[in-house]
This record gives sequence, structure tokens and C-alpha cells, in this order.
Amino acid sequence: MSTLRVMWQAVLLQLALSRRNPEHALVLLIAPMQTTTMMALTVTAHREDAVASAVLAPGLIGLWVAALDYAGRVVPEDRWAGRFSPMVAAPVPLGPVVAGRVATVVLVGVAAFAESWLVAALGFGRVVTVADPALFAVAVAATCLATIGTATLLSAVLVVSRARDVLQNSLGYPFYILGGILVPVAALPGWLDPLSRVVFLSWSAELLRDAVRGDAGGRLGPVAAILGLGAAAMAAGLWLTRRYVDRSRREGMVEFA
Amino acid sequence: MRAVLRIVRESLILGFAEMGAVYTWRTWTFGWLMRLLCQATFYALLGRYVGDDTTMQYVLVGNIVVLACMESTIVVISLAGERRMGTLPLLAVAPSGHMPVYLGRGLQWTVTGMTSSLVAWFVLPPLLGVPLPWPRAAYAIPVVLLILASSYGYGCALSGIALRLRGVEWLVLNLAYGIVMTFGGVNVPVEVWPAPLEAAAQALPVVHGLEAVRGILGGAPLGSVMRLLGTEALVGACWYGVAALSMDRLVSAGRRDGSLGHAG
Amino acid sequence: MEAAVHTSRLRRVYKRGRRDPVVALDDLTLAVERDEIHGLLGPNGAGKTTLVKILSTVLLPSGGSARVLGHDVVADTGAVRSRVGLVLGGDRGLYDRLSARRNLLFWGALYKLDSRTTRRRADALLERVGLAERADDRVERFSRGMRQRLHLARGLLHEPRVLFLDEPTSGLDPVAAGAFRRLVLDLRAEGRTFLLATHDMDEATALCDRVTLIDGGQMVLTGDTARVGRFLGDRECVDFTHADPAVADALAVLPDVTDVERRDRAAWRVHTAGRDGTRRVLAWLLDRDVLTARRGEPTLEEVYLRTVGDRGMRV
Repeated sequence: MSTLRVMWQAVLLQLALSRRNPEHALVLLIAPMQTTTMMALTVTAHREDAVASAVLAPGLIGLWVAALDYAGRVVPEDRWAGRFSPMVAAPVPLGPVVAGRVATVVLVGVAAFAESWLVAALGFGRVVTVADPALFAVAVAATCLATIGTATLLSAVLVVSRARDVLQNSLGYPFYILGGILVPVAALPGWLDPLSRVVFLSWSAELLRDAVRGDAGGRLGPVAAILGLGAAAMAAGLWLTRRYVDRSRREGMVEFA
Repeated sequence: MRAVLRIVRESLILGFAEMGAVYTWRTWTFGWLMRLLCQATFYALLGRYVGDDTTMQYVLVGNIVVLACMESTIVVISLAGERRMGTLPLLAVAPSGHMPVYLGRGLQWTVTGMTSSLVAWFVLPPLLGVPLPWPRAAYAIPVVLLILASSYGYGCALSGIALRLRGVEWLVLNLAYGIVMTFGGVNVPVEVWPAPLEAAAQALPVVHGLEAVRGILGGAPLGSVMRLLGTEALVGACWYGVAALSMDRLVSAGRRDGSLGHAG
Repeated sequence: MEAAVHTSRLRRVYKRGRRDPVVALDDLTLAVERDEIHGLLGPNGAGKTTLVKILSTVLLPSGGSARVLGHDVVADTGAVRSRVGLVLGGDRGLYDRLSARRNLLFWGALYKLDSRTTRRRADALLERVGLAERADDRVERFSRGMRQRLHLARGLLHEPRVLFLDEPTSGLDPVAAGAFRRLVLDLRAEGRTFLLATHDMDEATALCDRVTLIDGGQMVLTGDTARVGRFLGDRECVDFTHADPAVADALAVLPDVTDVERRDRAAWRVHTAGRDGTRRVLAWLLDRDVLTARRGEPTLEEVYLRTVGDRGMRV
């Protein structure tokens, strides 16, 4: 079974699971509400220049939450349901399976972008047009890829953590602030800057805003940063997952509950 | 009365025991509480970015007070769990009636909610450079308590949905406090919204209490503050009424169609 | 003296939307005498759990009536609730994150018992059901058998005179099940009535004074456990063991013999038409030096299987 085929099967599986679980629609519920709040603040303060941020931010949050909530649950859920053991026994490396399922879920995150745009257009009459659509598309694609990579890493981290639920809930807002997804990094205290640079969200947010405004000047440096950070996360995630599976086999933590 | 107090006490013990499955002191403080503080900060920063320090304080006060509502509504999850645990039929036939247990089931969240909002109240304003006027800020604290109570009733009422449909508890929870956070005058005044929305928002918890808090901080006359508090209390009482009716009907319908014992 | 539990033409229908409604109980009339352990037997879906739920007021009947200790379950719900104990089977119904003792204290509060009484009774019951040593351990760590015993302790907390047990020993190993049954017998001796819903034959035979067999919501038969075999009519049987199947073949052609059944590698059961036939078969076997022969009456299992079992796996 080729890796791609495994991933495709995993995508189908996650779709089927998502349909049965209304919780997975959470992101699509939260995004419009966040957009509404952010737009309301921006519009009542007469800051049209910040409208783009207000529309992009919920989309980025949606992607990040998709990564955290679902991807962080994929392996642990399987473990709880006793499905982990048969999966481990199957002659297929675990990493690609997880990554494949995460990919599906990230599509939900992208839907959050769309919802956000709609809310701004229909609810507030602000139609955000993208000045540099090519760069925008590239930025979105890179962001999604980086999200998948980060999700893989998070998945591996959460599976070994005992404070899984707490982590899932707490790894949001700190990163939204650090990532400057709403308020640009430049407006934050200077000492946060190095931390922000390591979070791919900061590069994505800036790049997306630039693409909307059209003053990116064709720079691809940020794209490289996003992809680089994402790839590093993916590699770390796959490595950790592999180590976890090996350790489970060795120490007999794999139960057929 | 004593029986009811005992049930409350036992429910609190049960509630905290269940919380203990997810949180330790450390993870609650550095995980959950930190998240709440960051959440309030996130929006406050937007407030300063689009406006000035006044806007920031407005937004910050709103987001701190709404934390009390956010935590109270977690009762939806606790009650939904009751069905999954299979204890619903047993609760339904207990002589004390299901109501005290039903209402007591999520009380631990009111305790955590008060703690979170208090910590935020003391820590965040000075940290972000928009300190609150003391001692006026102290008078706002009992109001937060009132908001906590009315939000809890709101959460209990909405639990009725989570108890009737399977798997929707997280949706209901997020929708419940999401609506309050978006339309409740937390980040922007309620008047900003179109008339129908503004009218509907009056039925939500937090709306009047928060306005009272802002009034207290701004030195508004006592009469108007008391009126707002009265309205908040009334709103809360109505939600408790809805909660009681909802649970009563759930049990009697469950006895008629046999759905009490199901896992939802 | 009035029966402890009495149902009269009890009926329960479940509506299922557009599909045909399910009749879970149909015209059921039965009586459970005081201080009796009464078994409610039937296959899955027979209506046992439905009956238990109605009697414990968790469910309302669609028709007919039921009385527990003289109180109607619909009109006098409060009175019934304070006098009956409901003991469920299975893993659900307990608060996993609480200790055994804490679970009892919680339910004690719900039964409006004051603190001291609850504590005292909880300690005594935990001792009684053999959980005293694990009283402060969280239920999530309990085995199935321990949970079951805790269920029983909880059911007894408010000292009800009537207890309804729904498949209490399902999933228990034989040792745990045996201990549970001994407990029930002791409790009955103190003056309690039990209605036990089960499909475990051994349990019903060992525990119950009388049994009622229901299937498809209807009563099939009711009577003393020991004599239920009578319902099969004038059927008798002889059990013996012999290694050589030729003996069984020879028996089968005898006029008194209606059926020869192989129960095990060398164990046989011969069904005869009557008492005389039994005597003759016994004599026949003795002539052939088969000394293990003895007379037997159809067991509850046979009655069950014969009246219900031809349905096989169909539900």
C-alpha cells in the first residue's frame, strides 16, 4: 500500500468520523462569531485599514484550532477507543495515516476563512478584495501545509501528554497573540519578537495582509519561512510518532481494550 | 432545606472530583487560567490597536467580566455527562427530586469562574497599562457574583438541549457563551447592533450586569446601577425557570417514552 | 396478605416514529409475594427490563396497573420510590471519579437521609457487600463484580423492603456471582422481597423461590422453581452415563422411551412418557449393569429452552 493511498484512506475515515461527530463543526460555528466581534470593534472605531486583519484572523484561528482540536485528538481518540492497537499491528507506518487525516480536517479550517469573508461582506458590507491573488493563494497554501506539519507535531506531543485536554484548550490564545494574527507583531512589546518569529502564524498573518493590500513586492522569503517552520514541525512530529509507536510496542502500552 | 444544602455539598464534591480527572492545580493555573487571561488580553490589544487606552479598558473590562459567564456555562458539559453515565434514571426516581442535583451539578464551575475573573480583575488592568479606579473597582466584584449566578441559570437552561440531543454539548456550550461574548456588550456596546438583535440581547445574562459594572467604574448614579442589577437578576431568574421546566419535562417525557435510560 | 408487587394487565408500548410501535409488555399480570425472591426470566428483548423500569417508576405504563407494597406506581409514585430499591447491572450508573463511600454519601443525600445516618449505613453496607477495604478507592478502578456490589449497597441505602435487580450478575465470574447470590439470600432472610430479572438459568435455579417466564412481553408461565418442570406435562426422564453409544441406541427403540438425548461424551438423558415408563427404563438399565442411572425432572433450563428456545437466535 503506497503512502498516498494510505493517506487517502485516512482522509475518508476522518470525513466519516467528522460527520458522525457534531463537535467537529465547532470551528465553523466559532469563526463567524469571532469575525463579528472583531469587525464590530474595527468598524465602530473607524479603522478601515484593520478590516483585512479582522477578516483574516478568524480564518487563521480556524486553521490553528483545527490543528489543535482535531489533530490533537486523532491519535488519542483512537487510543482510547482501542483502535490504536490494531493500527499499530497493521504493517503501515503510523505517521502518514495521521498526517492524511489531519489534511482533511485542515480543509475545515480553510472553510473558516470563507465564512469570515462572508460575515464581513454580508454582515458589515465590507467586501475584502485581494490585491495580489497569486501571492494570497501561495500564502494560504503554505499556511495550510505548515498547519498540517504543526498538527502532526501537536498530535505526537499530545498523545504522550497526560494533560491533553488542558493543552488543547490552552495552546490557542497565547499563539494568536504571539502570531500577531490580529494585532501585528510590530504593535507588541519588542521582547516578544523572537518568540513571534518562531511561530509560523506570524509570517502567515503578515504575508496574507500584504497580499490583500498588494504591497508584498513579490517577496518569497516569508513563504520560505512558513514552509520551513512547517516542515520542521512535520519532521519532528513524524519522528516523535515513530518513537511513540516503537516505545508502545516495546513497553507493551498497546492494549486491546 | 438542609437536605438541599447537603445535595449541593455532595454535588460540589462530585463536580470537583470530576474536574480533578482533567486538571491538577498546576495545569488549571498554567493551562486554563493562562488561556483565559490571554483571551482577554487578545481582545484588549485589538481595542488599543483600533482605538486608544479608553477603548482598551472598555474591551478589557467586558472580557474579564464575561469570563464568569464562560465558566458557568460549562455546566452544559457536566449535565450532558450525566446521561452518558447512566445515572439519569436513578436521579429521576430519587425522592429528593432531580432538580437539586440538576442545578447543583456544575457548581464547581461557578467557583472556578469567580476565581478566574477575580484574578483577571486584579492582574490584567495594571499589567496592560489601564488600571481600574479603586476602590470603585471593588464594588464591581459582587456584581460579577450576580452575573455568575444568572449565567449559571442560563447554562442550566441550555443544558436541556444537550440532554435531548446526543453529542451536541460542546456546540451548545460554545454557542451559549459565544453569543454572549459577541452580542452582550462585551467588546462593543449593545446599541451597535441592529434593533432586533439589540432587543434579543436584553434576554441574555451579563448584558445588564456588565453595564452596571461599567456604570460603577464610571461613577454612575446608584439608582441606575441598581436598576440594571435588578434587571440582571430578573433575567437570571427567568433562565432558572426555563431550566427547571426543561428538566421537569425531560424527566416526564423520558418516563413516558422510555428515553431516560439511554446514553443520549 | 397483599402481594408485595402486583401487576394487572400491564401494558407498555414504545412508539417508533414512522415504523410500527413495539409492544414491550402485553397484558402482563403477575404477583410477587412478600419475602420472596422472584425470578423474571426471558430472552433479550422479552420485556424484563421494561417491567423492572415500570415497577421502579422510571417508566410509565401504557395500560393496566401495577402496585408495589399497596401503592400504585403511577398515582403514588413518591410512596413507591421511597420504598423500593433499584439495582442496575453493568458499568453505568456510578460516579467513576468518586470513591465507593462518596458515591453512597451522594445518593444518601438524594434519599434525604441525614448525614449521620447515611454515614453509618454506608459503612455498614460497604462492610456487608465486602467493599470495606476499598471504600475509599475511586470506582473507576473497580472490577465489574465490585461495581455490582456497590450497586447493591446503593440500592439498600434507604432500607427498602422491595428490591428490583436487573441482570445483576451479568458479566461476573462464577466466584463473584456466587458471593452476590449469597448476599441476596441473606438479605431476603432479613425480610426483603426481590424481583430479579435475569436470563441466567443457574442463577434463577439457585436463588429464586418462584419464577415467571416472559417472552415477547407476555407471560409464558409462572410457578415454583422446583416444580416448574411440571409444566412440561407428564414428562419424566432418566439420567445415566455410559461410554458405549450402543446402549443409547438400544434404549431408543423401547416403547416407553420418547427421546434419548446426549448431554455429554458419555452422559445421556432418556425422556420417558410417565412414571411407569421411568421405572421400566431404570430396570432395563440396571439389567445391563448401568449403575449410574437416576431419575430426574426437567430443569428450568429445559422448560425455558423448550418453550422459548425453538426460536433460536431469532429475536
